Amino acid sequence: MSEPETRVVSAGETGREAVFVARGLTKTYRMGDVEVQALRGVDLDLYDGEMAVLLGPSGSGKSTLLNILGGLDTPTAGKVHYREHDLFAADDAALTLYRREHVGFVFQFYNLIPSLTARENVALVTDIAERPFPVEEALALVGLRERMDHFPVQMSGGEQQRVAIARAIAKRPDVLLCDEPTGALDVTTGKVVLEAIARVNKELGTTVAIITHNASIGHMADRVITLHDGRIAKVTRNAVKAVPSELAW
Amino acid sequence: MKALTRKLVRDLAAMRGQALAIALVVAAGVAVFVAMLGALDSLTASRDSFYDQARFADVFVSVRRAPVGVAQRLAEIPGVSRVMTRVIAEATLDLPGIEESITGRVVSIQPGREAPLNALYLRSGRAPEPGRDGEVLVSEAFASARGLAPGDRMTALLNGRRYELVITGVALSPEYVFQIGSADSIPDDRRFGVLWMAEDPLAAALDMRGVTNDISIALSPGASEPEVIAAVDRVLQPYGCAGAFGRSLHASDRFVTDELRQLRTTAMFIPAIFLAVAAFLLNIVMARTVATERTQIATLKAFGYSSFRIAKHYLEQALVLAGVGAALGVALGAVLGRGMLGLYTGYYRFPVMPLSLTRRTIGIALLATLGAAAIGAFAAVRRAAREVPAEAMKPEPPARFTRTWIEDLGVTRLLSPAGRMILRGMARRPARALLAIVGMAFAAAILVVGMFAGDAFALAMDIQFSAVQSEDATVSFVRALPASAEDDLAHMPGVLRVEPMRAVGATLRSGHRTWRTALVGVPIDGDLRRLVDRDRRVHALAPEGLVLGRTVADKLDVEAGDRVIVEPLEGDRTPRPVFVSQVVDEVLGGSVVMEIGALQRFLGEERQITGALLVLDRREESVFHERVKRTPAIASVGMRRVAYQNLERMIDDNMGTMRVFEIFFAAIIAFAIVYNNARIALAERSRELASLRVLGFSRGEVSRILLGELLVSTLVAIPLGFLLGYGMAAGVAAAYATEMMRIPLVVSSATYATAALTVAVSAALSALIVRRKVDHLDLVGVLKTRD
Repeated sequence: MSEPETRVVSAGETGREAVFVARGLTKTYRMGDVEVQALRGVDLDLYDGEMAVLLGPSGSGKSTLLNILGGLDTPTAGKVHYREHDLFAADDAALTLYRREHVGFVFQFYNLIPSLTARENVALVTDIAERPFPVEEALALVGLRERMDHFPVQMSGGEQQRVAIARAIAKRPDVLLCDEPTGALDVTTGKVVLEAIARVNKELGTTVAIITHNASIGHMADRVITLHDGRIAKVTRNAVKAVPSELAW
Repeated sequence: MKALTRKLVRDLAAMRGQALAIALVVAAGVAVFVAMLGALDSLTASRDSFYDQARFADVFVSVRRAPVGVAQRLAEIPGVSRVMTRVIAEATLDLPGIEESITGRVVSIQPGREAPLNALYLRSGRAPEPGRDGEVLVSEAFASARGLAPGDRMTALLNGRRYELVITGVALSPEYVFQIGSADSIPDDRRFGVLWMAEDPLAAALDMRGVTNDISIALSPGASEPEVIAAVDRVLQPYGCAGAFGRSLHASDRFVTDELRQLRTTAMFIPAIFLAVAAFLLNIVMARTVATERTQIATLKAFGYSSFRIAKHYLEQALVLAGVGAALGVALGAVLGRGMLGLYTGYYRFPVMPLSLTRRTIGIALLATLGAAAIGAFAAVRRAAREVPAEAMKPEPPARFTRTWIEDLGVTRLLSPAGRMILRGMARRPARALLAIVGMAFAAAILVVGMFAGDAFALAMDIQFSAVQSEDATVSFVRALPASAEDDLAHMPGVLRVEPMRAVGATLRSGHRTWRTALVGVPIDGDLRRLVDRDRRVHALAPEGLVLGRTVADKLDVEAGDRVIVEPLEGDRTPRPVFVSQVVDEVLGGSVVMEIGALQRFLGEERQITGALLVLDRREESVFHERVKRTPAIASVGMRRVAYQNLERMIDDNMGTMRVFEIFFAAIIAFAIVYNNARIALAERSRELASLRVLGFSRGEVSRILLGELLVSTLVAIPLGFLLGYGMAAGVAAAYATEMMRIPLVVSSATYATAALTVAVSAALSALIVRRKVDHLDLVGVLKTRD
């Protein structure tokens, strides 16, 4: 079990503002005939511009937490705010708007639309964004300028994931939420993808939360938040962030 | 182009096989609708404008002989705006080189003057000029059937004298839009024609100077037709008035109106079936699309696309499909409609306007199509809109399979694991399995109905021309003659047998219902004209009372045993009650039969006959015709063989093309349904099938599982389709029960077999295509994808 002082990090300590504030989050859902308690009382703050890694084995509740932060799901009980947005009380339309304006997602299985090219997959997001990057620029940022007109099926897994990252950041989101972004990739490709994420965090100042069960990815984070059985088990701060190319797993 | 729009276009391109199938079904429905409604609009407008420009009269009456001055008295009747008197007579025509005799109805006109009512439309040539006595106009139907043109000559036997006539032009008349002789139940343009001749020479030939035998009346707006008719009958009572009647009983207008009404029913009924099928197909295809794209929907939602936008995306997919079909259908409908109009112009003679594709027609077609598409896609679109992003990211939990109630019966012990998979697959989605079966059944049913009409008409013709009628020729006299005329006929060359007939025009009344028809008296021991119903049962003629055809009985709302008031249109015209002895569900015609002796007693006359049925020696037929032409007492001769050919041609013209289209369209439906079902089954099952392949099942075994469901559906659908088709055929039989013809409800086994075969072949073709896809199943790829 975690020690009380590591559980909540105050704003004063990092000198940054907490953009996400969650208190007492619980989430229960039914899967088939089984009732699952995914979150059992989570308190968490995420700070502006930080890179956080949420670590935990499968079933620890990390995906559920990320979904709630991203406005994809709502908690059963507790409080959760993104800045002035109350994500607990928000209805479907408000959550849609919240996602559209503030959140970028990267998924484990990329979730590209197979019938659209790389460029068009990114355009899918820029079409509905307020002040997006030009599509080409977003793809250049992940090193895919030359593959813009390829369909997902014509690209490797790493390339697809980088398109997904370009798609997520093209609208200049305030937060980038990544669900096992390297889960389906080999080490080398995984590192290229993580580099792209790190670059977004560093150059654009986007708040990033990555969930993974791969502990070594934690080295590139400001903070590593470990979940276990629906609770936060441990929070560690890295004095020095590793660059993705130095990671090994 | 927005990225989501691109997705729409690409997704539609990817599902082009299924998309095309659906679009074709929509196109077929829209084409039929547009063609029929377009033709209907055009025909209605043509008729209305022709009636209007030609000043078609509202009330018609014929008298034996009345001074032309009577017109003045008629004009004074309140509600009458115009009166026109004419002289009309039937003549036997002799065309150069034509052996058979032709009946001509000669109608008087006033050369050089515009007709106040029933004006002619000159199609070619010129009108007869005043003072040139032998000049005539001929009706277009007759002219085109006989290849007559201005300048051609003929001889007319009129009132016992021969007149040389020359054709100056071809004309159309609102009174003969549908041209049918008074003695005929089927139009015969080769043997009946209308001639218009200057009044002076015609009246002179008929000894009718200063008198009239035919009066047309136009009503002023708001006038009461029944009141005017009653007043006209009173005024004309002393002149042998045959009873005035309105347009609704006018022979030509009645047929035209009947046809237009039928066209309207068909124009609604057939497209409705097609659109229902299209909606059903969209329902299953869209449901599958949304299920497959569950993750994509969730991703879009995660990026902030609203539920509304997602719903719109999938709705658009359905609407584009339907819209493409509708556009195709309108184009096809325009072609089909023009073809249909072309057919109608052969039977309905008025200046036909071009196919009228109004904005209303196209608008209704589009709205109905898009409406059907929206209804079909509704469930899938709603599901897409309701998809919760976080849930949709997770793999779908295994579908709920349970043992089915059928299995509880213990049947499954007899089934292989593959058989069980098929059974449970269908039981898991009973609604879809049922809909698929119903859809295929509909395809079979449409085929049955499409071909049933052919069966029914063939049988109807056979009943009429072999069971009902067995004479070779029907002779009508110009007026009633003493019974000795029967002997004269018997002595004509080529005549083997004679059965006398007595026909008299009559008005039948029951309550407020009225029907004008001919009462026909035939001998009780005669067998050239028998009473045979639609089921080919022969009914003996009752010695007393009226025998009504089903159509007439329905029009009068009477049954056997009821009484009908009969007002004969000649002799003692006092209306008298006669009881109905029989109602026969006959195939053709709306005549009313009585035993000849009973009819003669009813008319209070000594034995008089107006015609006869003859059996001829075929070798001497031409001599017979030659003699008829020289016998002034014979007004017309109808040949059974010719009537048969005419009817056959008319049915072929009217229905042949439509039948080909119906069969073609039904095959499209069958294929579209079966193909879509098979494709969806494949999409849903590919993972499962790949797993089986990996486990060592052969391609054949795997295909059997997939196609087994298709086979079961087809086997259930075909008999269901037969039932449905029989029901629909009953509806069509009822709808076709016009005054002219009532078709029997028979579906031949050839029809059933063709329907079953078409559905089975469609199913087999789809199965083949799907089987090929199974053979190319990418085992590793399928198992790797997460869906």
